[in-house]
Amino acid sequence: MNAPYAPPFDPDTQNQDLEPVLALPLFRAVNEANFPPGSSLRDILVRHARVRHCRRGDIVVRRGDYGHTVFGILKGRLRVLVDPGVEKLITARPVFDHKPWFTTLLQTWRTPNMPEIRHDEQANRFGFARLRRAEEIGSRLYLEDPETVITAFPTRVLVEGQSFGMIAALARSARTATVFAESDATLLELRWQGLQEIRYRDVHFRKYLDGLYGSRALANHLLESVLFATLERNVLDVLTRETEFETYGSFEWTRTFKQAMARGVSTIIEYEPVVVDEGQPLDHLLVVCSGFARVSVRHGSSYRTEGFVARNEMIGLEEILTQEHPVYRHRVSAIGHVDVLKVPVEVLQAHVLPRLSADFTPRPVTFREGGPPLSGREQALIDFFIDNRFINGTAVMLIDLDRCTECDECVRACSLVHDNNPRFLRHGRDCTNIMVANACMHCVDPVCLIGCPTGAIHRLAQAGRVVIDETLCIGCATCADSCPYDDIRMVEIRDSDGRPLRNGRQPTLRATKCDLCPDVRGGPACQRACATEALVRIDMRDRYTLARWLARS
Amino acid sequence: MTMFFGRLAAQVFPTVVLAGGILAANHLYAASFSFSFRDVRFLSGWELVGIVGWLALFGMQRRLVTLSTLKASVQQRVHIATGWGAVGVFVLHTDGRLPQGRFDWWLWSLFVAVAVSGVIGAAFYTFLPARLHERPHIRLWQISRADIEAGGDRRRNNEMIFMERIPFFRAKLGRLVEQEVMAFTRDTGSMVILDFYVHRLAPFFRGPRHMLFHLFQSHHPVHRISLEMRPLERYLDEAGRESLGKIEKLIRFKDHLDYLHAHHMMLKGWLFIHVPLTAALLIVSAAHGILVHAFTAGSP
Ligand code: HEM
Ligand code: SF4
Ligand code: SF4
Repeated sequence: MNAPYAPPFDPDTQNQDLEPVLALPLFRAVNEANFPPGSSLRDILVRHARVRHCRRGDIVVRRGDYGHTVFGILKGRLRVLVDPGVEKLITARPVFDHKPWFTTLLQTWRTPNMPEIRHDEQANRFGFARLRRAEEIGSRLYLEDPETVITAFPTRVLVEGQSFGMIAALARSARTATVFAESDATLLELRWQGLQEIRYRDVHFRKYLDGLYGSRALANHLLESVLFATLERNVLDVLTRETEFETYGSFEWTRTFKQAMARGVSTIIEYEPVVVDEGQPLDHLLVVCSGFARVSVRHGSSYRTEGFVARNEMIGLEEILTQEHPVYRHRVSAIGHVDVLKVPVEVLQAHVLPRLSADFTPRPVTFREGGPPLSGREQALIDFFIDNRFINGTAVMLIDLDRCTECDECVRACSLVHDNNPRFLRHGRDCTNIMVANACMHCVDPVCLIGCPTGAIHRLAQAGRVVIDETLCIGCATCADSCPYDDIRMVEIRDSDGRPLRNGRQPTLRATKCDLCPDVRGGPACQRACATEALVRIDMRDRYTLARWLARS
Repeated sequence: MTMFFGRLAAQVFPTVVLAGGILAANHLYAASFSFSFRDVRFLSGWELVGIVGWLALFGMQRRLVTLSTLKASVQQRVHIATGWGAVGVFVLHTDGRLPQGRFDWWLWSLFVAVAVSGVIGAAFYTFLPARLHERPHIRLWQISRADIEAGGDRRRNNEMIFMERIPFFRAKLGRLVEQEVMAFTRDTGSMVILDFYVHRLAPFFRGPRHMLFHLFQSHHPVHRISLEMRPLERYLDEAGRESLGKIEKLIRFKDHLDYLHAHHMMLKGWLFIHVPLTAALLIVSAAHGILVHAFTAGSP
């Protein structure tokens, strides 16, 4: 379960009067008797909840933002924007496009002397919304005139006692709608960890959450997987009913990760929560819906890593298809944290397998299924990527040290297209001849997004790229502190004349990191600039490409 | 090593194809117009101007990767292949003979120097990077360990040492040795280590040493220093020997730094021949072209 030493969400919560919070319908069914001393409902709330005061017009959650908290309304009235189409008008996200050829040429020519120069930021970038840029936590987008929005666009009312944001919090996915305050309002905000802890302690709460999750998110998750994508509605309903949702490990994996690294990477595997063990009778097909799991086999006195599974990948299908009394061929353990759906084998056999096309072959989850054993170097690299959790990356910067001449053209190219300041360090952990440079990996599970008060750092829905909207960034460094790979840097910015911008006495900071060069033709400038093909950006889930790249001579 | 040859082959193959193509095209072209001997030299001369001009633009092309449609890796392959093509045309142009006049000697030498440095550079790019990390690893943590033993802070481990940081680390190791020697001398009043330090170690730690040995992967010089330290042991007690051991470790770290330095110098240094001489080559060949045209203009 959650690490008890997780810092409180908001230290101020313990001074709050929690009676109105406990009276919320969300907690009404919770039986306090189920909670041990020291971990009462109230204790959990003190650790994992905060009370938020919103002003009229404040945007509480924005469609597309990465959610990890659930809200309960203590006082006031809120509105949900019903039509996703009008979203763009209200809280527009920046749009990236290739720079015109000529602009790029000019940029090459006229590099400013100073780094991080910002020209006047565009006003009114957010449609109807404005940014309250108090440089403090609590800065956020707001609507100047919520009435106009309410009369012009379809909305749904949320009133005292209601809760919202549950699905995004449970699945830690994007918010599905925008919610704003129609009047001044007081909200309870409970983070994911608290939700899980209450779920763990209280059966009713668990049933309530799982029911909610099952009815809304589970079917969608199943549909994302190739195996279930083509099922008819009624079959899917059966599956949804029978499938269980389990979560392993701690969502606070950044913290446990750092502790594990301090103990030494080689022991990491022994501390990972086990999902299923090698040789155990196979009663469920496992589908990963978030996080990662390690796939290993017993070897000597420990375990040898054979591969990993990521979102939408499955464990057990091959066994079910090929064995009469299937047993798990691998030990599966949570790398940090993993959410899995468990589909009972009987249900699968009754409803899904008969519908499977004859040429269906499950995707291997190990690096070399059935092939010759991995070489020492390959095994070392797999361990290295998994132990250091680089498998989280969809665009990891790998540098082949056998080829890198350390010419720094990659760094120069990056600097050229990014305010005269490179967005990565050609530096990082390495194993054999491969180095993982300190460049944002554009994670599958981007923990940097959690806690950004303005949603400035976000993930683009289509491309999966994690980007920072600078006009929204208030320089609070929450993201930089959360990134487990140290890939975000806070920089001091300057005005057009090169003078450092200030905010009172403090220099004005902005978070910067690799954005994969959305405006450069032909992809990331670093990779384009490397003449010896030492540098690539690689999606770690694409095991085939990865293996081929590592094996090239 | 097979990896290197594989990569070399992969580089050489397209090169040979392209260079062969240029030469064949050249011959066909010349043959189809049935030029006189002198005319072919005019043709190959202008070709050379074109090719060398294109090669010389490579530096600028490289800086325009965010603009140009070719990735730098492709550009470099094209450059190397075209470079070999230029060598072929050059042989054709000079008839494979050594130059006659003094001016021609200049021109000839400049071209050969640019081409040879290019070939050497391409070889360096293929062989040296792997050497930077294949040898007993010199890593920050090794230096930090020396640092910790000397009471310094722990630094983040598992990091490579970059060229720019080498002088910093060298100075640091120098300081550590000096501290060790001074402490020992002060505590014991014995001059044994101090003498050796002044005559042998101080010059060694002052700057990069034994560059050539390192390029040939030879441990000879550092081995030699170790040997010279052995006779000192008979004049030292237990503490003195321990001190000597620490110093020896620092010597090895410094030697690793030199090794890296030597390789970095080669990786970057060849460009300091290749690029400036390219500029000189362009100027001298322009003069050559003007002269040749001036002298042949009147002749039939
Ligand atoms: C003979 C006429 C040649 C000329 C005029 C020429 C000119 C140049 C120039 C201007 C650069 C740019 C350096 C920079 O600013 O980065 C360069 C780089 C280079 N040249 Fe040549 N070159 C010639 C022949 C060759 C040959 C024959 C080879 C190898 C077979 C070669 C290999 C290279 C390589 C590997 C680089 C890459 C430097 C880097 O990536 O930083 N060159 N050359
Ligand atoms: S900033 Fe860090 S956590 Fe966020 S996507 Fe990049 S590497 Fe992942
Ligand atoms: S451009 Fe390529 S060779 Fe040069 S420093 Fe970057 S990764 Fe190394």
